[in-house]
Amino acid sequence: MKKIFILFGLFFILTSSKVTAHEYYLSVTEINYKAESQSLQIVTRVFVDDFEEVLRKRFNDDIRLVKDNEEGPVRKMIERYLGQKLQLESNGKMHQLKYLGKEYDNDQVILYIEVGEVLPFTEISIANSILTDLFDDQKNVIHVKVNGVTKSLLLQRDQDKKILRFKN
Amino acid sequence: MKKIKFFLSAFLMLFFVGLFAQEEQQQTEERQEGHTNQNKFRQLYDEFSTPNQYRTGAGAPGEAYYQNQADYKMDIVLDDKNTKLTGKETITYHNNSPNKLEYLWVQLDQNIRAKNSPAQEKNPSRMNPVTTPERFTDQFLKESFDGGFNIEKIHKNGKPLNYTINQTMMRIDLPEPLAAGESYAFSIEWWYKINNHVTDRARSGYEHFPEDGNNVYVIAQFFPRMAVYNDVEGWQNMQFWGNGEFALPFGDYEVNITVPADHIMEATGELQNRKQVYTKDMLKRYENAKKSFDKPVIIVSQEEAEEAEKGFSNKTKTWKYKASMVRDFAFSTSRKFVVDMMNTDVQGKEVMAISLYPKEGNPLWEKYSTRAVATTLESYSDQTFQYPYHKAVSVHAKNQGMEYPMICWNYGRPDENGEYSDRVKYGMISVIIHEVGHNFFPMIVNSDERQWGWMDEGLNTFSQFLAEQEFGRKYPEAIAPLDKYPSRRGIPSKIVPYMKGDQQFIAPIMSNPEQVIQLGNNAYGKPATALNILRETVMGKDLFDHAYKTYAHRWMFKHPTPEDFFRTMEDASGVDLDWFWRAWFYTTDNVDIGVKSIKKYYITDKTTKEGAEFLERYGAKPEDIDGIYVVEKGSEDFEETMKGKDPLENASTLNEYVMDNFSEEDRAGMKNPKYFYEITFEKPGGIPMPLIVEYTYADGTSEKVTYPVQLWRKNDAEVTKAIASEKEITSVVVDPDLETADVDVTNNSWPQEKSPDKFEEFKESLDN
Repeated sequence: MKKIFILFGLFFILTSSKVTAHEYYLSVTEINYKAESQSLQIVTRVFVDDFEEVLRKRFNDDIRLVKDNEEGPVRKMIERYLGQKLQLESNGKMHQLKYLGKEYDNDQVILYIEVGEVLPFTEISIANSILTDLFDDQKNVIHVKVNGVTKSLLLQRDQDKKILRFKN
Repeated sequence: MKKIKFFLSAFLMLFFVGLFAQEEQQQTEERQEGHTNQNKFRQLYDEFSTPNQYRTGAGAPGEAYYQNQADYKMDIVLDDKNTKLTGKETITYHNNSPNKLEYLWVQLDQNIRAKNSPAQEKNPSRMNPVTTPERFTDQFLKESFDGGFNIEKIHKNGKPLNYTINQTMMRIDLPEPLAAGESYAFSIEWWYKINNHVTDRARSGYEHFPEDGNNVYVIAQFFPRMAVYNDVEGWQNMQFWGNGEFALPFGDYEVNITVPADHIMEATGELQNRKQVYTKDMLKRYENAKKSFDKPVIIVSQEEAEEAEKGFSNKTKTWKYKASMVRDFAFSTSRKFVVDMMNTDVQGKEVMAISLYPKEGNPLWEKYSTRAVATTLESYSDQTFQYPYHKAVSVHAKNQGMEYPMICWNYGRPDENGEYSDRVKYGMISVIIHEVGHNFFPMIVNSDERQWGWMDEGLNTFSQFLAEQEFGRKYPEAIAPLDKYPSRRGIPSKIVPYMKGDQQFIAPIMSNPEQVIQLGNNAYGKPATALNILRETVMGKDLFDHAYKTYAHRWMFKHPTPEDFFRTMEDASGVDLDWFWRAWFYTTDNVDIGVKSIKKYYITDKTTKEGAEFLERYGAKPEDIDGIYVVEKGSEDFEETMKGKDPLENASTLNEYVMDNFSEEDRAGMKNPKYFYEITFEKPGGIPMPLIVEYTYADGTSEKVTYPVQLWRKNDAEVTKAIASEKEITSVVVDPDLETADVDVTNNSWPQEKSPDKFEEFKESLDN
């Protein structure tokens, strides 16, 4: 039960008359399939404050995401969070993400993630629920590029997983 | 002269033969279907309403333009203990239309929070495989909040009126139709339970602070308000579903608000009894604030506010306000408020910039709120018209930003230790600039928000961008170590992820706010970016700024429609923008322009194989004319010796012609190109845009050339340009400064640059 509480304990109360007109929550993830190295290169942009808030609320209140002035077990918690919130599956295989690191860019943080040993695929299933545990109206945009063809997805709280198909 | 004749006749001949050849070809093809005009540059006659005596083709109010007015006299009582609001109002409605009205429509926005409100069921819901007890309780067990107006009485001088409530709209049936030019006064009495705006994420309500037991109220949509009646919609009585905001007539207000005696209040309008509601100290400080133009003066200090939090007075006090020519009224009241004020010189007019915040807003709010208010008034007045009201107030609210005439709520709260990150700081400054900016759009340029979210949000977000940059220039210490204010919206590259996204999640800007999926991008980000691009890249700042100002002046204290904006921008600038409005506002197309191919050419007077074949096809021989031949680099006729030479050197016939026909002086003034190119640009994106190209030359210099958007008018897919250059071109880059929101820049360069792979770069930086 404890785990479920961590997962769902922070959800805002959903009401239908909420005001979101003056703010929006968005992350953009670019996934690039490199055929030569059989790997997926993933670059995810999220807002620093949103990301800090979710790490603090979920794991550790000591975490501070400030450029050149980080506090707390940042790397470990990001790794753990991404493992829970970003899931990729192709050819029947659930992929193991390797979190490489991050960069700050103004009010955003750019996360770099790599997945190795990915055989060529025609179908990839993507689940991205980053920050939907904190914000009802978080929207996660995903662009997947395979052999020069880019396809896009929008995932959100009530639909956090979709499948993309590519021709060979 | 002989030579010129030859040239001409050869050209004419080729032209006619060309036509014949084409006709012959067409006859052998099957008959093709015809089509309507789908050219992207065709005018917007099908989309725009026809101009008339109310709204002209120039985009200005016409001879017969009218608007109705609603004046309010209200007595409001706040019951803090029971979080309940009770009110009485007399509305005087002036029918300035040429039509008689059988009934009046009144808006009951609070009814969206009624228990059985259809708005609560407007979204689909799901059975989640797993949930928490709290969530489950909220979703399935708890009774929903019992809000909404309780209408006690509607009468004229004590005589009840017939009325019908349809969700958030109420029709009042008049005993006699209200004739053109007549006024009608009637009264309403009501009460409602105030909701918690933090847990409800609502625009109006209270925030409860359990530590000290106090509430901070931000109260709006609290009274039955007249709907707009006009030439476009008749009665604008589209229901309030939550996203499409408000359509409201202008009017004069007299409002008395009774609250606990230890509350501090701000509201729309001029305070009439400051001496009765302010302490002596506050009055003295208020007089000082009138003299302070460079820093805010504290009216109620944090210490005093913390002391007041403990009071819970049983006595009451009535604050009296008057406001003229406003479209709405809102107020905020609490024991917890710290208040500061600073006078502002807005084009020679004194306007008080005011902030109210509980101690939870500090230390952030005392630093930036009032300064952000003042900068907004100055910047927006420069962009539009002099701010006409006497004050602008920014009130701290936990997690919302919302605008009303003269007053707005803004988020931005430090954590429990008083610490805040840059995002909280910039989020707060930006939201204050945005909400104070709403005084201009839609509070004064009074567009219909229920129908068109972008008309106020898009224009306001665009002006916000300019005001933010102004704030950064004015307070460099506030944005250090950055040298520019980090605006979130307005910069073209920032809208790219949205515009290149999946089409099923994108709607045209010209959509109703209830029907779009990403409202933030649709009504705020994209129109703001489009206007920014229009200003900086398409029209130029001078033409744009004049037209934008003209629109603001024409529709100040009036009700514009989208066409009024579109038409004025063209009318005042002389720039045909139908293609721009069509592409950016009426479609979900995006921008993608690139370099497809580039060919190098040299000039010779030696007959080339290709040239001879060309002439032969039209029955001519090389010896008939003094031909100048163009040789593509690498073709059969190409010789290495042609490289880098003047065409006059390579083609002596050209040299002879120039010498025979031009004086030495003429010749000295001629261009001297040595390098010839044919460059083909492609446009995979649907939006036509001016073609901005940066040419870099072998000597390291570069030049930016902008070709007009009209280049695309006959071929929307690709265009070719012949370029004659004195220097060798070493690279061609389309949109080098990323000013068009090009969604795919991998095709923007020749030679094709390996677009910098952020991922590989980052990985390498880890290895080092």
